[in-house]
Amino acid sequence: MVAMAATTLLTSDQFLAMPEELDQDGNVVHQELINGEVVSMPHAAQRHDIILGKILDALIVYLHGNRGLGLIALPDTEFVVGVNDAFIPDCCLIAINRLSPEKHKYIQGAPELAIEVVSPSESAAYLRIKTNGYLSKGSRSVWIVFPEVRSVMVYTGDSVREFKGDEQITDPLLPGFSTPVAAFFELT
Amino acid sequence: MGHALEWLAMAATTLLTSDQFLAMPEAFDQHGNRIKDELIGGEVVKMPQPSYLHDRIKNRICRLLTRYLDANQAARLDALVETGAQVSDYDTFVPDVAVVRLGEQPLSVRIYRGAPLLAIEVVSPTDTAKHLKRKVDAYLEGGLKSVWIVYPEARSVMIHTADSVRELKAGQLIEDSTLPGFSTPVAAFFELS
Repeated sequence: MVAMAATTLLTSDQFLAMPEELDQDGNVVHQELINGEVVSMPHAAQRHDIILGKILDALIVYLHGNRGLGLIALPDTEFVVGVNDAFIPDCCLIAINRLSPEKHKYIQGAPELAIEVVSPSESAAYLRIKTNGYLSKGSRSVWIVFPEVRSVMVYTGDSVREFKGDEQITDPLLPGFSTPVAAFFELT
Repeated sequence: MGHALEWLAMAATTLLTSDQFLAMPEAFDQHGNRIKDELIGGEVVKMPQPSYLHDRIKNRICRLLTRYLDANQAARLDALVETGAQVSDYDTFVPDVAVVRLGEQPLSVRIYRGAPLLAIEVVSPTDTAKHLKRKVDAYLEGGLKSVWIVYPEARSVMIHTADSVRELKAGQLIEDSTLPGFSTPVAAFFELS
C-alpha cells in the first residue's frame, strides 16, 4: 500500500480506545479511521440530513413489507471494517441476527448495505477507500449519494451503476425495491 | 443536463462562464508561482498542489501512453499533459493527461475547446468527491468518450463512459475501446520503483 499522508497509522483497536474529542461547543467530534488515519467527519448540512431521512424512510417502508430479509436500517452506526479501518456510514442495512444488545456499540465487519451521502468537503480519495473497504469486507452493495447532481452510484461486487433523473433505483440485495431516485432529493 | 442550473445555483454565489474565467488575469502566490485553477460548474476551484506521488503516477501514465501512441501512429492521436480544456460554458478543466485526435485544433490555441477523446485525472488527497463527480459528468456531457479517474491510495482506476462505469483493480488490465490495442496492468500505474 502506498503510504498516505499520516505519519503514525493507528489500528482500529487503538482508535476505538481513544477518548472522545469535543469541539468548543462541547459537541462530540465524529471521527473515522481510514487506512489507519483519523479523519474528522464533516458536520452535516441540513440538506444532507434531509436526504438521508428520505432514504431511510424509503428503506424502512420497504423492510416493513419484507421482514423475511431479516435486515434492519440504522443511521450512523460504527463498523470496524478492518485492522486499520473503522467507518460510520450515514445509513446502513444490517442483518438483525448480527446485532447483540450486550455488545459494544460498534459492529465488527461491514454492513450488508452501506450508504454514504457525499458532503461538500468529502475527500474523493477517502470515499474510494471506504467504498472498496466495505465491499472487500462483505458489503453486498454500497450506495454513494451525490446531492448536487442528484444521482446515486450503486456499487455491487464488481459492477457499478448510476441512477439519476427519472430512473428508479434498484438493488439486487433488495428484491422488489424500486423507488424514483428523484424522490430522495425533493426537499419538501 | 437537467439539474445543471440547479447545481450552479447551489454551488456558489457568483458563477462564471468559461469565457469570463479564461479572461481573468493570472494570479500568483507569494513566491511568484502561478496559481492554477479550474472552473467547475461555474465555480473557480484552486487546483491542489500535486504531491510527488501524484506527479510520479502521472508521469508513469504518460510514459505508458506515449509508448502506445508511438507504436500506433496510424491512430493519429497525441497525449497532452495539463492542457486546459473548455468542456462546457461553465466548465474549464486541466486534465492531468488528455488524449486528443491530431489535427482537430489549430496549433495556436491555448485552451483546447471541445472534447478530447480521453481525459485522465489522478486524484489528489484534497480533491473533493463533489467536484470530481461534476468533472466526470461534464466531461462526458461535453462529448468525451472516456474518463479515467486514478486513485493512488486505493490503487484503482475508474473508467467512466457515457453509459458505463468500471473499476479496475490490482491484477486487472486497463483497456479502453478509445485506445485499441492498449493494454496494461493496473499495477503498472502504481508500482513506482
